[in-house]
Amino acid sequence: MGAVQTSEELQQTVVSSMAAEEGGGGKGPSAIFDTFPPELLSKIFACLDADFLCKCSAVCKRWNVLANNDVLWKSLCQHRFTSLRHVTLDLHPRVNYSDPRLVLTLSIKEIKSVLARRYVRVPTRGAVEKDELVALLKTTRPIHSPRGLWSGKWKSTYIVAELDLARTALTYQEVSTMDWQFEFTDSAMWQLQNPTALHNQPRNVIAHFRPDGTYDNPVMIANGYRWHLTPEGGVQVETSPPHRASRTLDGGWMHLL
Amino acid sequence: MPVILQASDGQQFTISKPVAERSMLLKNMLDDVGENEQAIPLPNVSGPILAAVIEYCEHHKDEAMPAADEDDKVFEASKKKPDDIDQWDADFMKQGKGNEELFEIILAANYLDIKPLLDLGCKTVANMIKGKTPEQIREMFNIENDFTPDEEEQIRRENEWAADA
Repeated sequence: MGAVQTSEELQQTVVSSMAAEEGGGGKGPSAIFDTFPPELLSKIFACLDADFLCKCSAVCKRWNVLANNDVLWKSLCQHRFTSLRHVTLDLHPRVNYSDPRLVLTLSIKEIKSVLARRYVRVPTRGAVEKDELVALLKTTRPIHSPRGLWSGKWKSTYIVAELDLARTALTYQEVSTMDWQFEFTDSAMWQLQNPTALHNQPRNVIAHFRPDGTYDNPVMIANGYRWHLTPEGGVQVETSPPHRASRTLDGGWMHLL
Repeated sequence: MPVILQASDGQQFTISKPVAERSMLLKNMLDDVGENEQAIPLPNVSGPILAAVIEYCEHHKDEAMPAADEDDKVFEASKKKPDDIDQWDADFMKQGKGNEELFEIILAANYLDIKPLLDLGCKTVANMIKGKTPEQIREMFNIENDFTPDEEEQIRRENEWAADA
């Protein structure tokens, strides 16, 4: 392969230039990383961001194992997601956990936590076998989840969480379990809806898209509106045009109705 | 009372106690054995590397020692300020130091337990890795690509997310 030859040539250049710098003495650099302790390589990796760590995982088998390490990626998750109010520091529910090697690294507690955040009811009778939980884990991955499989539960969590920040398709559970703060962006609209309230527009009206399909908004004069989710993950109230949600900078949702 | 260090090649260095005490290994040793005129043998460190380490410790001898309990937070600390390298330190790591020497300094800093130098070394290597492709990293450090074509393809697909983001 042409690429391999180029790399060998370059390696030779590196060897000779280093030998020249060191006055011809010293051993060749070929053994640098062969004997380099893994804990020190991990320390170097700890200084890197996610995208560079991914590049390191593609260098060689030894680097691959160290660069996919859960400790490094959990630490990356902490730094990336603590500023995002709506992303929790837990294994992400939208990760594809179908790879048996990945499942092996999950504790029962972690599986239950993932299932809970997928709104899956775990059977409570007696002791639940891990196999049962694993089977649930495979079949309950929410729709609109990012495609792809990654090595390591925390690397997977980081990448899936990152990709999921761009998702604008809501799920039924998300719409019906979240509190939606209702704001008029146009005060003329507000007065039209509620002519007696003059200008003191309330600041924190919470609207609910109830699981039974009713839309509950204290601002609206009329009640009994019904809502449903469109196949694209947008919300439609009665026959008004459906709207897709957009994402806020802190990982939340914004829905313009 | 000066401290005498002997490198693996027999080369001896006489340094002051505050310089020696930048190394937690030497500090503990000196605390244990007290004043001693005998040279301390350092079989894991060569003369040229020990000279460089001493140069670093000389420069930093008057600074406050990092707290011992920061051990576990090294990951955190290095993550927060990956580019935060003092100018003198940056020059020190660059001057006439090839990769081989850089890695030997990291190993020596680890062995002698000099945390700030260990962090500096790791950050320096991390900065060399940044922005490079896997192939460029292999070339730089002379690492053999031991993946099968299938494995390489799988890893390439795993890393596509970063390109899309």
